[in-house]
Amino acid sequence: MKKIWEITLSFGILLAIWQGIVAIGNFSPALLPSPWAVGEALFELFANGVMIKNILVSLYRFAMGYSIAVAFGAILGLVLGWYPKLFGYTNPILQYLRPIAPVAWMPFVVLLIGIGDTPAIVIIFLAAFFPVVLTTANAVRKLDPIYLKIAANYGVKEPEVLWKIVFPAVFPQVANSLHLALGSAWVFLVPAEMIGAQSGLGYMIVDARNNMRTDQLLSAMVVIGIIGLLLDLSIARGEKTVMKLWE
Amino acid sequence: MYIEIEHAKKHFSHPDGSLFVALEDVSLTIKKGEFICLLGQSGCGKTTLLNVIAGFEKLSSGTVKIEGKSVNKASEKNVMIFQNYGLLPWRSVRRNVELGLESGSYTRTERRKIAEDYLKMVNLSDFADRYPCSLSGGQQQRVAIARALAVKPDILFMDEPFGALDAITRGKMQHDLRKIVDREDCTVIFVTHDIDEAIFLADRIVVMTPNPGKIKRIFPVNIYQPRYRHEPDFVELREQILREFFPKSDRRIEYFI
Repeated sequence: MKKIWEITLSFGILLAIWQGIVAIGNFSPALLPSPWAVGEALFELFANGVMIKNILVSLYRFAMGYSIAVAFGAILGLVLGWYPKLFGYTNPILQYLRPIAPVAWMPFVVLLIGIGDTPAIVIIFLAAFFPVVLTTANAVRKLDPIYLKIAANYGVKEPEVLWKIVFPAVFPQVANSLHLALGSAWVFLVPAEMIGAQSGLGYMIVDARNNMRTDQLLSAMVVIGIIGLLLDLSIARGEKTVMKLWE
Repeated sequence: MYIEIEHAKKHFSHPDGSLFVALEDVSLTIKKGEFICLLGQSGCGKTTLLNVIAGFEKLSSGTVKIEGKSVNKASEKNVMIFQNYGLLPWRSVRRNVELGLESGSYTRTERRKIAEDYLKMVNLSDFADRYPCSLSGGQQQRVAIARALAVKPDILFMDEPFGALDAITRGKMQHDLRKIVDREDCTVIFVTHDIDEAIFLADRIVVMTPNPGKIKRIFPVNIYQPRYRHEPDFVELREQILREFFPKSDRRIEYFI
C-alpha cells in the first residue's frame, strides 16, 4: 500500500514539474506539449489503432531478438565455460566486440539485409547476447567444484552433466544476466527501429518528429517507458522466485 | 586388505613457489566393513587423504588401491558426503535421492520406490516433495545420506559431515548414522576433528598430525555398540587420544587430594 502511494506521488511530482515548465517556459505548444495534450494524443493513437499496431510490431521484434540471444548466449556460454581452451580463444573476440554499440552495426545490416524486421531483431540480439554469453561462461568457470564431485560420484557423465548439473547450478547467475540483458535490449529497440524500420515504437518517434507532432512523440516515449517497466517487473519477479529456491 | 594405502605422499606448491606437504609417507590398510575415523586438527591432511582415496585428488607419489585396483578417478561405487551437504537446490528431496539411480537401469517407479525407502530410513518420508532450502541443516544432511546410500555404495566417505550442525543435532545424527551403516554394511571413512565423535562412531581411529601431514597413531575402539560417552572405556580412550595431542608435560592443571 505504501509502495503504491510512493509511486503515485513520484509520478505526480514528475507531471507537476512538466506542467510547470510548460506554464513558465512559454514554449510553443507544438514544441513542448503539456501533459494533457500528450494524454489526448495517446488516447487518439490508441483509439485509431496505430499505437496497438506499433506496440505489437515492436514486441514481436523484441521477443525474437531477445529469445534468440538468450538461447544462443546461454548455450554458447555453457560450452565456452566448460571448455577452458575454447574460452581462451573466444573470450578476446567477445571482449573486443562487446563495447561496440549494437547500433553501430546498423548501416551494415541495412545494406546487407534491407530494412524491415530483421535489422531491429539483429540489434536487439546483439544488445542481449553479450551479457548472457559472458555471464554464463564465467559462472560455469567458477562453478563450485562440489557439483563436479557429485556428478562424478553419481555417474552423471558428459555431455549430460551440462544440462543436468552445470546449467541448473549456474542458473541464478544466468537469470541475473537475463534481467540485465532484457533492460539493454529494450533500450536498443528504439534506435534500431528509428533507423532500420518503417514501423514500431522507435519508428513512431521518427515519424512524429518528421510531422512535427511532439505530442505523439512523447506519447511513444511514455508507452516505451511503461512497457520497459512492465518487462522489468515481470522478469524481476521471475528472478526472485528462482533465487528463493537456490538459496 | 580391502583398501591399501602405501607411502602416500601429496604436496601442493603455493603461488610463491614454496611447497606444502599435505601428506608425508602415509600407509594404512582398511578392512571391508570397517568404520574408520581420520582424526586431527586442520592442516593434518585428513581431508586430502579422504579425497585421494575417493579419487578426487591424485597422489604426488605412493599408491592407493581398493580391492587391488589403483584408484585414479572418482567412482560410483564410492560416494562422498560433504560438510555443506552438496544437495542440488533445484531438485526436490525425492529427486535429489534419485540422482544416483538415474544412470542405472531402474525404471521410474523403481527409482521412486528406492528413494522412498531411503527417505524412510532417515525419517524424512514427509519431506519428499520439499526443496533443500526449506530444510534444516540436519535434515539436509539426512537427505545427503539417503542419496548416498540409495546407490548401495561399497565405501562411504564423509568429510566432517556433522561439522556445521549444532551439538544436539550432531549427537542424534551420530547415533542414527552408526545404526544405518551397520544395517547397510558398507565401509565408512569419516573425517572429523571431534574426539568424542570419533570414539562414538569408529572401529578404528587414525590420529593424524600436521606439518607434514602424517599418521601419528592408530587406536582400535574396542567398545560395544551402542556406546555411551560416560562409560569408563570411553573416557579412558578419550584420555589416551587427548594425550596424543597434548603430551602430559604440557598440562598446567594438577590434581591434589
